[in-house]
Amino acid sequence: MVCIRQATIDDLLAMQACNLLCLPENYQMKYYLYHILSWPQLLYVAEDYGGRIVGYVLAKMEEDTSECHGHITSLAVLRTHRKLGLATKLMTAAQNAMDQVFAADYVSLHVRRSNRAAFNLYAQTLGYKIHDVEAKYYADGEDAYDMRKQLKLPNKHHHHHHHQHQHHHHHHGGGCCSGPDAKPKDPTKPQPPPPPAAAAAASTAMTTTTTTTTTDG
Amino acid sequence: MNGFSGAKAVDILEAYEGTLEDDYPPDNERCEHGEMLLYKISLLEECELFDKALEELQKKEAKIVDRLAFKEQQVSLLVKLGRLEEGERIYKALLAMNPDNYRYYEGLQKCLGLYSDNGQYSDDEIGRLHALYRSLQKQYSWSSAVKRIPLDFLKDEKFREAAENYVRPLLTKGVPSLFSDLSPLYDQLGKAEIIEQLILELENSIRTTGGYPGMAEKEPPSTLMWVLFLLAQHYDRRGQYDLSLAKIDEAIEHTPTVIDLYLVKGRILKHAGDLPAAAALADEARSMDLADRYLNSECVKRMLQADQVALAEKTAVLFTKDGDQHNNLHDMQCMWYELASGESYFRQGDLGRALKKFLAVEKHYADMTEDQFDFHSYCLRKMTLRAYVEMLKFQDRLHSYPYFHKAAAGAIRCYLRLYDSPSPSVTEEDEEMSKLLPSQKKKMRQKQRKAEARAKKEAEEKNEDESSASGVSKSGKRQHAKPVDPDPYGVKLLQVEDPLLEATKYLKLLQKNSSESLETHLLSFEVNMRKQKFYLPSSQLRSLAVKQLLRLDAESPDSHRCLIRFFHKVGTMSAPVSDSDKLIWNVLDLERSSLSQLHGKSLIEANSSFLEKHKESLMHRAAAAEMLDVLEPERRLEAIKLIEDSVNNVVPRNGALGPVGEWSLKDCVAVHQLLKTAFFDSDAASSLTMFLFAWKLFADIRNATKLLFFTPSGWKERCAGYFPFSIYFEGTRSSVTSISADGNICNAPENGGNHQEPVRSLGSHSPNGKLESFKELTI
Repeated sequence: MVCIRQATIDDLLAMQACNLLCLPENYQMKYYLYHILSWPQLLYVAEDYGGRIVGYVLAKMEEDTSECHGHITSLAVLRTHRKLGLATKLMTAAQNAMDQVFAADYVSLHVRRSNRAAFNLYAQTLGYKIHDVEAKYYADGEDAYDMRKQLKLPNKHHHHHHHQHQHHHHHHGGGCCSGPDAKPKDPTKPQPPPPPAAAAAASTAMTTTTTTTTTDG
Repeated sequence: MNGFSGAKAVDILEAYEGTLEDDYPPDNERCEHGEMLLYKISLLEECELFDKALEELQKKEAKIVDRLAFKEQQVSLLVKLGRLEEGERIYKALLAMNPDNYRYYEGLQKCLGLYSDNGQYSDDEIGRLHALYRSLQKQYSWSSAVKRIPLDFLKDEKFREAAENYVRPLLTKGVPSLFSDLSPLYDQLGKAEIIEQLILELENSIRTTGGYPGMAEKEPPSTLMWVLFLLAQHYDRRGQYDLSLAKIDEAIEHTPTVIDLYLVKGRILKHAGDLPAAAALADEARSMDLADRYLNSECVKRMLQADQVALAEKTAVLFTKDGDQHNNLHDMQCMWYELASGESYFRQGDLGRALKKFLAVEKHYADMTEDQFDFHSYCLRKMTLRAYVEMLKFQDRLHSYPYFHKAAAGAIRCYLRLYDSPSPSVTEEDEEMSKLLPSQKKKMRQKQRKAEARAKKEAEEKNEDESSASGVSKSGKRQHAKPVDPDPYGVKLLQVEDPLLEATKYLKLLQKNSSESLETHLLSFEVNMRKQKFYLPSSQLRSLAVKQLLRLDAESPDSHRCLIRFFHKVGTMSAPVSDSDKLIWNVLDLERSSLSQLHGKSLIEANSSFLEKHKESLMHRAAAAEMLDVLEPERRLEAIKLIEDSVNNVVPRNGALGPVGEWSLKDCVAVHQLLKTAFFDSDAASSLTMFLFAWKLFADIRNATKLLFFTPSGWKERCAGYFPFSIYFEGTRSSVTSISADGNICNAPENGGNHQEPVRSLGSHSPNGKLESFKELTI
């Protein structure tokens, strides 16, 4: 059927094309590059027999908060490839990597209020809960649900290195969640760079939607 | 990377490791450290120090956070070291993590000595593979891959059985991609027939008993619809469009609310050659769920294929944020759209706007090249070294991606056409001018200059008005007035001094990045023929387009055309005068005798033997006929007869269902265009010139008359019979003839209906000059 695998840099153009076919929220290539060069473990694609990319998940680690958590930037599956459970498989793969590699506490995402199919996928199949509602989050004025899924129980440590993070807040963003703003400010080290300009600009429009249905699972 | 710099890099990384306190990275840098170690190991692997790499990997296991990367690296090294049993174990562990990754199955098969690149296996191997996958299916019951892969290697009755077990639950569930999942099997001899037979049996059983054969329980009503859906796509793939449409229509009648049915019907109509009807269907599907962008995109694509550009733009705009569709699609690098509309403009002869779209795509690639610069220092600090190195390599091959190839090829074709027929406005003007007396001309020019100055002034005033209005905005809303496109029609792009020079720029990129593509060298040939560039320095002979074409595919009709045209042209050049020209002439002569196609043969003989070799193939016959006309114009009628005598053989089928010829619609259209442009000049046909030309050529009034009244209408009628849904051939069942009783077919005149009509080359009036224009390689 369809192969689920980690994305490589050669998939980015096809991921962008898939995004433009399916979703109203789009990004320039630079933003895809920014993701794969920052968190190569968190990008997955669904590839059909002919080598065509029919779905993808683009995810990141949030690095500006004290809690270490992942965020689903974008998830799409071509309409022609629904009912195969691809969205579930892609999401599961990205979530596992967030947990295993970056020791994320939880995953967050945004979904359009009107997108019932995607909402059901997140809420019922994948176990996300509504954390908040962000009014007029989307460019067309629609509200977003801010949804979250806990990856590990609080105070239960699966990873040795994660331990530090729980108790020593001067080392906030510990574990592997060490992006630009989360690193300890050590003057002897070069300051971490801000995300590239266009990527930062694009991230203001960052949104998550999906066109998949929820008949899987 | 060579061994030396690789080893050097490893040294540096190890020196860095030595600086760590207690040989352990700080907790908040474990991820970065693990990445650094993985990078070091990948360097060792690249230097082919597999033992050392594996040893290092195992030594540092605890410090490598990314378990997946660790295992993938480990198995890669184990396999390279020939330690296949350990490799097998790791692949099974990887499959436990992700049983839908085909590459793990492939790796596992390789470790077991059960893998072949061409998918051919002995009976014994098939038995062992079958057993392997049966056991894997028990372990990974939720994997789709493990169920699908056996269909690739099983044969005959075993295949039939497995295929039936595979499709039944998917039809019950209603998986729309089932056909696309099965379609690679159609390339294997006999499997399509088995699939057809088994779906027909399922259809029959559900119709008569309400359930699958041998099953007591009834299927839900939707199963029949999905069976019909699958059958429609099966017949479409087999070219049996009438059957295909009958099945999809029945499915729609069964459940009119399933959008996928309309999408597929649109696709079938497109394949059958009715592009406006395909667009109308896609639009109907779109209207059934306006919030789904995929439906919008599909519809826009079909509209562009039907050359309804204005309508396509209006439709695409529905999904762009501020209503300014053009900029938004461009800003978001929506390349499929830009390419598809560029191609449509090109078909309609609007070279300015076509070029604009193609160059827009080229610009995206330039931007992507630029993108990398922001990441150089970023990645070094972030320590994502493996991804970073991949990005550097990616940048080197960026221009070999298909979108770029299409855009560059499209732009080159625009410049070629521009060269062949400079923009019509200029020529018309010149013609009018040439009829005037010198004094009148002078007055005209003065008048024109005044008019131009007036227009310019008005435009400037208008701009000032607008800028002041937006500066001191009343409403506060116009502060960011959108930049107005100064050249929406691409007129400026058409004013290039030397189109061939522009074409050469893009050609060089194609030659560098797509040297294995036939199209690259066909375009190179066309550009160089126009440049009259035959005398290449001997060092460049290697890159001679003809030689490249023969290397890639000596039997292709296009390679043959180029070979004949090239040496024909060289043969008609005047003999070289200077010593250096003579030298090159000699080299070229030597080249010619080294080509097996021309060895000891005249061009005419070479053409005949090409025809003899491929006389069963329509496209090869057409190429030979065209070249016959180039070499011996007085045998034109013979050339036409060569094409008309071609036979559309019926493809043998097991089933008793309607026979289908081997010719494709695309080829038949190409042949029709060849007949029209190369052999039949519709411009001049009505004039006496053509008659006189023909008469002179044949010195025989009967033949001249025959040629004069030759039209490719016979071909057209014949093809309309093969392709009754084709708009191009005005088939009886196309929407052009059976039009809009239902009013569904929208075909706005400004959008240009009959899109495949080639824009006639206005330039050359010699019959040979026309030959280039027909060869519109599809882009």
